Amino acid sequence: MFQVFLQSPPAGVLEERCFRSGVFSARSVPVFMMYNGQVRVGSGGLDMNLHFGGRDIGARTLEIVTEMKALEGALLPILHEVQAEFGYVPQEALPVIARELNLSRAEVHGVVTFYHDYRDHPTGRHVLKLCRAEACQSMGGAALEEKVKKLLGIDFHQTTLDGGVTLEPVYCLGLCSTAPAAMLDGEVHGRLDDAAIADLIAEVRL
Amino acid sequence: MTVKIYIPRDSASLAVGAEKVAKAFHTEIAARALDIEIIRNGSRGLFWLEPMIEVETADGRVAYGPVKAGDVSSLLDADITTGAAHPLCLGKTEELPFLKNQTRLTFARCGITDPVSLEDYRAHGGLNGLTKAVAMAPADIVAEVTDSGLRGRGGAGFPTGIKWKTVLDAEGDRKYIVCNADEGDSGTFADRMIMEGDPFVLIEGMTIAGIATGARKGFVYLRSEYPHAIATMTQAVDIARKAGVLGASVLGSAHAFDMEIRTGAGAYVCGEETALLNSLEGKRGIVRAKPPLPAHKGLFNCPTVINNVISLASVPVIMDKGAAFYKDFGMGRSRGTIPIQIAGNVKHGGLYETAFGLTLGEIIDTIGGGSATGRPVKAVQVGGPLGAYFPRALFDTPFDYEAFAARDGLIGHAGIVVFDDSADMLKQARFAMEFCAVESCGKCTPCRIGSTRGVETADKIAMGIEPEKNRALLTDLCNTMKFGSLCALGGFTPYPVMSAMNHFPDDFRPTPLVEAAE
Repeated sequence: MFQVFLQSPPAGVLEERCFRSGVFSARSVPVFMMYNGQVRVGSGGLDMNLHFGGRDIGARTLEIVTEMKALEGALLPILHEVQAEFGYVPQEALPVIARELNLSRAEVHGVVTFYHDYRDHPTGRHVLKLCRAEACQSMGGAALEEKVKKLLGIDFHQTTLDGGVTLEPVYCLGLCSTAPAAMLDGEVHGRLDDAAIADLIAEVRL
Repeated sequence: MTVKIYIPRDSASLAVGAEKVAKAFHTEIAARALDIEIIRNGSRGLFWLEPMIEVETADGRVAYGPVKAGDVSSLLDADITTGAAHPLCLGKTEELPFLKNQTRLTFARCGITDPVSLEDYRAHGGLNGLTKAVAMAPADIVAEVTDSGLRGRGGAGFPTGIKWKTVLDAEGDRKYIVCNADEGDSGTFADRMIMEGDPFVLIEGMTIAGIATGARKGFVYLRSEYPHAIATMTQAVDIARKAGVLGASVLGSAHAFDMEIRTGAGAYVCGEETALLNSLEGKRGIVRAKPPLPAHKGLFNCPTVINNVISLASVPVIMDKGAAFYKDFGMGRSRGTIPIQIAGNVKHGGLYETAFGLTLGEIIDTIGGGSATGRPVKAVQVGGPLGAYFPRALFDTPFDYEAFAARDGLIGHAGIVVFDDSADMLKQARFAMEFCAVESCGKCTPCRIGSTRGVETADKIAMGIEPEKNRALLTDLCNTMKFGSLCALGGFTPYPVMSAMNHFPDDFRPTPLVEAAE
């Protein structure tokens, strides 16, 4: 169970609507919460990424869908855009997409849940994707995986309690000749050894 | 005179620090007020030397690598602009044995040109194939591709020309060209490299396919794990459109062709062509039963050519130099060249384009230089996560579709992952099943449920629980999956499992755990 500690909620955030939250090590009683759209308050105010409560997910989704629905096979591009906007695909977006594309909600739900990329909740401030595929295994990927999990104190698909890092597996980044490889917030890193991965993690845990 | 220095922008180079090197060069050049132009090229594919920079000299390009940001100052002190000596100097790029012994047809420009310069592309023979194609009858283009002997480089090895002919002959007012750039196989990166290093060659190949079959629209389905390739391809399509290579009048001809880049969403199974089509249509990436073939009823039920990146990127050189030129390379029914990707635990990992026919041993030991760790090579997996593990005893197998099939293996997308003797083949077999379970689309039972049962059975063998019985069960399960699955995911997962079990039986006989003393 998570416990909610709200220090002084940013304007526009309704405390009772915070649905997921965590508490953490650091000095300043950092608050991490996820609210409606996407509220992330990091320790010391780093990487503040606030989308405030007044924002209407439905309305913004409608704008995205209206702009993109003329594409042939528009659903995946729309979902990518929605995720880029909110950091995940919010439940509230699904009925809007379904209505506009003349699909059932079940169909949209089916697509969202089929693909590994679409998330139903926000990530931490950083996303670390670690390659688990064979080429990386051949270069000690499994040991590296254990090391990362230990350093972060989490397993795959989890976020550190301070909301700093989400760890995800990925099956091949195409960096098989510079294995083992990882991707941190869209930036690629290869030939990772214990020292290099420790540096990466230190960077995101600042 | 301005000196040109090439620093790769390929994501494998970026992964080992090319961006920092480029920044250091920019800073130093500005500080020293030098007359140097930095060009961000694709990679030459010698990844153990990346970041490998090149300096253009009167004598040709000279390579230095692997360069760290901290080396930049000393490189400039040594006056590398003249190709001067330095501990990191590798000599002339073209003379590096790994590069010199290759036959680069599809990757002819990769690493040489600026990927997003259409002028550079033209100056190095780009658009010659398309220029010829726009003046030809569609059936003649198809005949040329058929005669070249080009087979699908995605793994199935189906003759490309025959696929195109089926679409050309199919009735339909709308037809599509779909490029399968969902390169999910571990150990493969040829698609990524060409899209990042020479994107126009894919655009040219797809446009030729469009003209040959009467399709006016193309899609590249590019996996989301390749953000750099997505950016480069998107930029290149934009440039091509502005330059009239794409659009209502291709190179000023009566042919119309345009294309879009679409991003996948992390599902491995979408590399299977019918799942990919469903995904492009905005559906779950679930495999379709065949027939109907995509060539008859593909994207949105229209006749569709669906080809791998390398198949399409090989078409321009075939059109430019002729079917006979291309067909001259290779062996048996495997014609032309294949970009072999040497990866994993290997000393000299990289991309090696060559005619079919080299033996596995030559590729691993001579070209790849053995394992990176220096330990003996135990096994290689050829063809991605669905490819067989080959032991050293099979290293005399020539790189050829039929020769691999005869030994219960597959070339797939020509990726080779090398493992040293620390690899536990039972673990690798278990991983193959685990991967299939994670990525199964769920449509057919052998794949959806068989993969999970496979993981459990492998675990039982590892724990020493009725090993004899469980090995027989695993074999039986593999047979069911192989013959009962709808597509290659479930159908080929038995390859790595069975090959591991057959070639490395000792790993499947772990010492039973000794009960802990009370």
